[in-house]
Amino acid sequence: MTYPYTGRDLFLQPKSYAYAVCDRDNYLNDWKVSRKGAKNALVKQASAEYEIKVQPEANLPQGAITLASILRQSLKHEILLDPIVVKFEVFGRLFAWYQDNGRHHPDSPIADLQTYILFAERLCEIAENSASLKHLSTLLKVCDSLASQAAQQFRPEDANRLADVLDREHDLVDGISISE
Amino acid sequence: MTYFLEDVALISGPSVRSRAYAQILMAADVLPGLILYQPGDEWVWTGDDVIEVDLRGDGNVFEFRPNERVRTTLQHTGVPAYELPVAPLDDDANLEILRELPIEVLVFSGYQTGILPQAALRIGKRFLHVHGGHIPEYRGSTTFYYSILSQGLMGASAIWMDHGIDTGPVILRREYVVPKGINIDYILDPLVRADTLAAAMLQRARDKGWPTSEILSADIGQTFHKIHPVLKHLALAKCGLLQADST
Repeated sequence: MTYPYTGRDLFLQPKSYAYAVCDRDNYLNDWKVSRKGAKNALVKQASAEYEIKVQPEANLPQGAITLASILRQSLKHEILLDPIVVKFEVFGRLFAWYQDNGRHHPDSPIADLQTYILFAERLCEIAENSASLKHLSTLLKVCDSLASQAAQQFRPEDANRLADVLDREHDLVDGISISE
Repeated sequence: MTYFLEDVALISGPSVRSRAYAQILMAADVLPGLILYQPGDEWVWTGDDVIEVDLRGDGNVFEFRPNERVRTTLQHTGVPAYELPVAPLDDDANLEILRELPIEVLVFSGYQTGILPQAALRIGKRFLHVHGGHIPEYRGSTTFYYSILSQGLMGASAIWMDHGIDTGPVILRREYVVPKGINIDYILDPLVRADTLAAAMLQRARDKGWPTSEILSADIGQTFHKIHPVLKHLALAKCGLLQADST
């Protein structure tokens, strides 16, 4: 059997995690195989020499704060990450621009892949530093969505970053003890 | 001797949680003064008819019958019952009925109403809920799985509901070592909640008052979201609940 959270764009069509049936012996192995396939494609993409078409950055409207800047600030002020985690858990996706009141800006596009990778990197750091299962759980969901994208959509440097995130995610999961 | 708490009503859905509440309260000899039945299709368990669980690890085995309907469990108790017209508690007709009841406390079991509607908090009753997690460390969703992975324990907290998610005053908390090989979502989850509910109601019956409530700041502890299936899988492995692959 294959890992079920794959095979379609999970940013466009989020899949529910409620009452997930995951009690098969091989479930963990299926997840690892799925991630390994995604990582291999990303490593290949990371060494691609051709130019990837990237959407030009839209002008930031007045009163808007970029998600990327919130994520960078959360390095010093971790509390800033909490509402982003909640938004992703509830809606399965994030916007590129937010307002002071925490709502996304009405003109905002959906967050781009490099910002999602930045989000995943922040979740990795917290899960690694504080052994937070809450943040590891969200990281696994973000990685499901990122791994559901074709590798060719990532710029080579982003493909490299995401491959590194998948390695860190793998190590975090392997670090969980299930012994008595 | 059975205690009857005349100022308490149990809101009962056709769910396994309500069945666990009824069966554990019967076993503990403490019953509500009224049952309010929510309509709906009865949930069906396809496993063993009787599941033996030693919840507290003290040798006292409880025989849980997941398919036994609440009406059957309580049929000879003499507890009066009332049929609500519809299941969701945010329905205006239900709120009007609840408002008029000569009852002080309503035991919420979550059927068809995952989060208590704000309007229900304004009808002049207190809602008692048992959250499946030890508050304040474990608020939110699927916290059993997180605490199994972190500590090998399941927790339950009896709380007075307020507008937040698991932020109301806590009246009783318990932790349980997880028995191996017993389904968590449909057996252990409802049973540990029921056991904690019974303990709170017994204390109310014996001491003539509810346990003193403790307000724990919402800033303490974490609010969890639905656990990712890979982590849930690891928690199931820890509880001896993995199944051989069919392929």
